[in-house]
Amino acid sequence: MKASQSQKLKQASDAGFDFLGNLPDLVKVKILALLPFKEAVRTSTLSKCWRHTWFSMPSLVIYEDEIGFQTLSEFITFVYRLLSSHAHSMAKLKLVFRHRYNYERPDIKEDLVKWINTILEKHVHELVLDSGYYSTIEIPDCLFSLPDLEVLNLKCFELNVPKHIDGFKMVHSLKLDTVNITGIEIEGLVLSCPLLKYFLIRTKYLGLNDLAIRSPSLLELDIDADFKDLYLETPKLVTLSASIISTFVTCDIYNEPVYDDDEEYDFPSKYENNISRLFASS
Amino acid sequence: MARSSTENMITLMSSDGEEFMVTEKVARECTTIRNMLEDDCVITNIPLPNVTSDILSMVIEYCMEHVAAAEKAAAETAEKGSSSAPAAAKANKDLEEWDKAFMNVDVYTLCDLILAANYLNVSGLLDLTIQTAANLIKGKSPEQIRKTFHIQNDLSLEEEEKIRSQTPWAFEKSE
Repeated sequence: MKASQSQKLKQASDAGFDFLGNLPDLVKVKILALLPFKEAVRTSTLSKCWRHTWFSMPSLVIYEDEIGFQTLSEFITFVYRLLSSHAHSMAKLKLVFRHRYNYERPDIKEDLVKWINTILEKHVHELVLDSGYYSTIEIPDCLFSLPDLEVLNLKCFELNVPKHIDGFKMVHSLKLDTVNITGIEIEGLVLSCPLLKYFLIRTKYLGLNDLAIRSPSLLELDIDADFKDLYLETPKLVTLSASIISTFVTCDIYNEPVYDDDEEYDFPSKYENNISRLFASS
Repeated sequence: MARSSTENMITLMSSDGEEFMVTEKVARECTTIRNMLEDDCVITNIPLPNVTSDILSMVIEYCMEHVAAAEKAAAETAEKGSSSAPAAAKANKDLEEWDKAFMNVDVYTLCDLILAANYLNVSGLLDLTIQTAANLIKGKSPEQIRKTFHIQNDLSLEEEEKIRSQTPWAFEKSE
């Protein structure tokens, strides 16, 4: 039975029927998503029905060094073209590149604005941007207007957080790794993410004096920064890890004030470990 | 609630009219069928006009194997109170080996299984088959991929050249 089916199929294939190519596009892009990006792009020369398939991959993960561009400008132009011709919504976009700060043109920020405006229409849920350790690229304001973002990872950027953030209402995971940001900016950013569950902050430079984190939804907080005072108003926090460089740190942790008539308010016991760990590491 | 001794049986009918009797539990591995059963619980006969009998029999074989493995693991957990880690790891490895052997099919059958897994929405089988297809593509030149999957190149030389020139970096020989 199996053999006869196979034979039938083989005859059809000999007659030029491309079984793999005629799978539904939704399935084809799932196969491409399992390949390295370069190999996924290479399928465009297989046959006519593969020509544009890689253009509609719902998740793009691109490492600049895998492609091997000479300059960052080339890479940026390539990504811009790709994003503008990508016809479908994109669930995930991850770009890892390297900013050669000493000989690249400085106006990369404007290119970033262009990118972000293109992904605005793609309803990107997960955005990961990594610009390499020595980067001085500044994240443009329009990033903070992305309405569909749920997961945002930024690595090695300068951040100038605008006073009013109109996007980020859906963000539940926020990682800011090796960024230049002030305590007040962090505070404002966290306040504008009402669904935030996970937050990691690793600052690039020392000298963050005060850090106040107020979030009714936050479950996990990971801080690697130099600050003097830490104030947490995070009633749902389960995990707190912090490495602190300063020699003297004061820490206030404010939780849900559950005052009973005749009992004084205590921290829930699960915080005691965290607090002692926080002090022990300082 | 079906009594365990007389499980509900469902008849699945392939596009070429062959009937397959399976337990409801096995049929429910296909999300498409599960949804039908949830909409209409008295349904016992389901025609599947998009799946041929030989492919349907393979899908059923896959579902039965995975249901049996899950039942065995659940029974062991119930017996000992908690499943022992080494036994669970071995059972997982056995199932992986079974999957691997199950994927020893020609590319036409593979493509048909992908279509059926997609249509019937058997997520485990869909993941397995598309991973198998991706493994067959990985590391190959376009020419080798065409050979593996019997793809006829219907692009003219000029068209192919044009596509290559749009993304030249994708076609550079890696060292």
